[in-house]
Amino acid sequence: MHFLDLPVELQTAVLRHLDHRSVLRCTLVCRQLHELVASSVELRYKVELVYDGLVDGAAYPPGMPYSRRLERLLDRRSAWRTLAWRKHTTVTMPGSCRAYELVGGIFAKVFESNGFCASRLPSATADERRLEIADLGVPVKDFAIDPTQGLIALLEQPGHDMQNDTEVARVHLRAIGEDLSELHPDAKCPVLEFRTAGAIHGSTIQIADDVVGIYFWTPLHGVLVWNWMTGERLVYFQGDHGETPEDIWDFALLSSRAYMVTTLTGGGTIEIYTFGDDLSRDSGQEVTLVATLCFFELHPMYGNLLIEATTTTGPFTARVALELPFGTAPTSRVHVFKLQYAVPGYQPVCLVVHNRTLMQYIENYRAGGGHVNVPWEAWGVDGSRAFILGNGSQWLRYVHGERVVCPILHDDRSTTFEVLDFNVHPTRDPQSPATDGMQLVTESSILPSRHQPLFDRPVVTCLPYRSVTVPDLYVGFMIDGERLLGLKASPFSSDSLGDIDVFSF
Amino acid sequence: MPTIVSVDDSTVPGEGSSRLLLLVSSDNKHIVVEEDIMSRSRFISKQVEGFEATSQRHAILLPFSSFVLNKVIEYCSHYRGYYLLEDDPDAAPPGRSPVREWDQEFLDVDRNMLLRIIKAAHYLEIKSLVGSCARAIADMIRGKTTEEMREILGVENDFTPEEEHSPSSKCTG
Repeated sequence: MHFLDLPVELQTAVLRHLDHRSVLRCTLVCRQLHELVASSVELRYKVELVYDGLVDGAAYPPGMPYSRRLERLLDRRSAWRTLAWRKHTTVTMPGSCRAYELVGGIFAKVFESNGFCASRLPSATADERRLEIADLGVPVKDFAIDPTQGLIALLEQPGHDMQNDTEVARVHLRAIGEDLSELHPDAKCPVLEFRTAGAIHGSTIQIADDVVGIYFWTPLHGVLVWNWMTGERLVYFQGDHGETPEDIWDFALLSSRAYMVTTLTGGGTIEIYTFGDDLSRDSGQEVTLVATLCFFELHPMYGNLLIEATTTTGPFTARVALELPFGTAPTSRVHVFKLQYAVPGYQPVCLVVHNRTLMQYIENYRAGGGHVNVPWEAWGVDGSRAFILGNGSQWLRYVHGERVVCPILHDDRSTTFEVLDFNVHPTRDPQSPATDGMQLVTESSILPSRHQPLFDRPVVTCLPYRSVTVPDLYVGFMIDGERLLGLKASPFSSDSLGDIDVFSF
Repeated sequence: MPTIVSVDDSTVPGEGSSRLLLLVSSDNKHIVVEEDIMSRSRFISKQVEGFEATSQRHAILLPFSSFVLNKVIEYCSHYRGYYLLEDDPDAAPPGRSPVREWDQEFLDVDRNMLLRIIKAAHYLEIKSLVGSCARAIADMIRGKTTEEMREILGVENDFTPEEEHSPSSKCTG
């Protein structure tokens, strides 16, 4: 007896139990299975989720048929490609902005030092809801949220401990609720404390599932990662960061058990670290440097003129937001590196890299390899795409999943804001002629020649992407899985944030 | 071996005074089984309702072998009296079948047998068993390469070389 002799509903019942990739492989087994997947709404939905780097939001709304989920997915895909948003609304955010976040459909900001204002942004199907709190009870320097875990992590403005001549900083883990005064019930130790040798000049805070990561500089650089549920410290460096050079510039979590720092050494490097296994969530493992990736080398004349190497990626959420039928898979993300040179007249270079390109070095390391030094040519040419950034303010949240919205400087010196989508399947969606500011780019590109004197060799990059031009009406943009936000103010300007235009897909 | 019973008067004393059913397999084996063991099968239940309406009890002819039928009876006997959500016609069907350890061991049989059991369970409308079999078959092919899947499922590659390289069938996943 053969599998194909079974009634179609039984074949479907079997394939329903497979993961998306196995379903995809099934479509290549034979015509009949190819046909089966194509004609089953449920299986097609599974496959299309993979193509768009999404995961099913199993919790939303129970019983929403697969046909409607699939329909919504395909609508969303074409809407993002052509920027045909379904709804345009305006949200007012009065007051200045000390720190802000855009995660899981919530835009939140801290104003003055302890006032808090959040908006559950309008979506194509729901209206805005707001939360305003006059006093959080602590002066807040920065914060991070994961609405899918009901968690807000407030980094308190550090205070000076006169007795020990150290700076004491605290992270308050609170539950997202009516007034944000409740401690998070899953946090065993709801206030995490650390001390630094000198005053903290700057810091960032990130959440990825069960970890909270903080990067600070005093100006000595420090990285701290806790398991926020148990309170256990998983990573702690201050100043001396293992084998990594001291000229660290930025930090980003790659997953809940891996992170990277960028350095300004040479043309700049990415140092990839792991501190456990994402799947087993163990934490007994030492912090290990698994790979050092080099950016393109600068011309000897400009030797050490790289002065900034910023890294940005979309926020992590532990689950799909309750009100969504599907959400961005945590692993489908790009990281954007912004490289700024101290050479007048040269705009920064922006480099986009898939998360999987960086994570593969951790897999290789686990498979028994040692630390590797990877020259630019061995990873960057095929694994990244470089652009020259034009003028325009960049809000922190200009990256979400595999999409980036940023000002691109073109060869003719014009600048356009564009949404770049690095989730492309050139063989599946063959190139259609570029129209109306939309294009699929699969050929390699070289950074413009007027930038060329900076580099030792031509900078060629090949990562395919799709781009679409955004109407040029704003100072800057932010992006999440469902929306594009047009902003008329610059980040951290003392002006009021004013109106934010929300374009929902 | 087959026991012939009078199907008109099949009440036996003892255990819940369940009545007996006569099932006849495709290889013409007659198998007697207590009615409430088989009540998990929607198909059998409907047959029994039919008997009650006409006060006539017949042998129930089934289109699969006694080897497969005995396996299904073993399953139903194991879960006799148990409530399984998937078999509740009034409950909302769960998206996926839960993993039940006993089922995993019970279904540790060769591919051919597994396919026969799922087909029989489908015919008899025993949703919990269909679900467990589907999971077991899926476990055999999960994470396998396309070539290994062909081997396991006993399927030939019938794509032309051109089709295999065409965009519509190619996947980057």
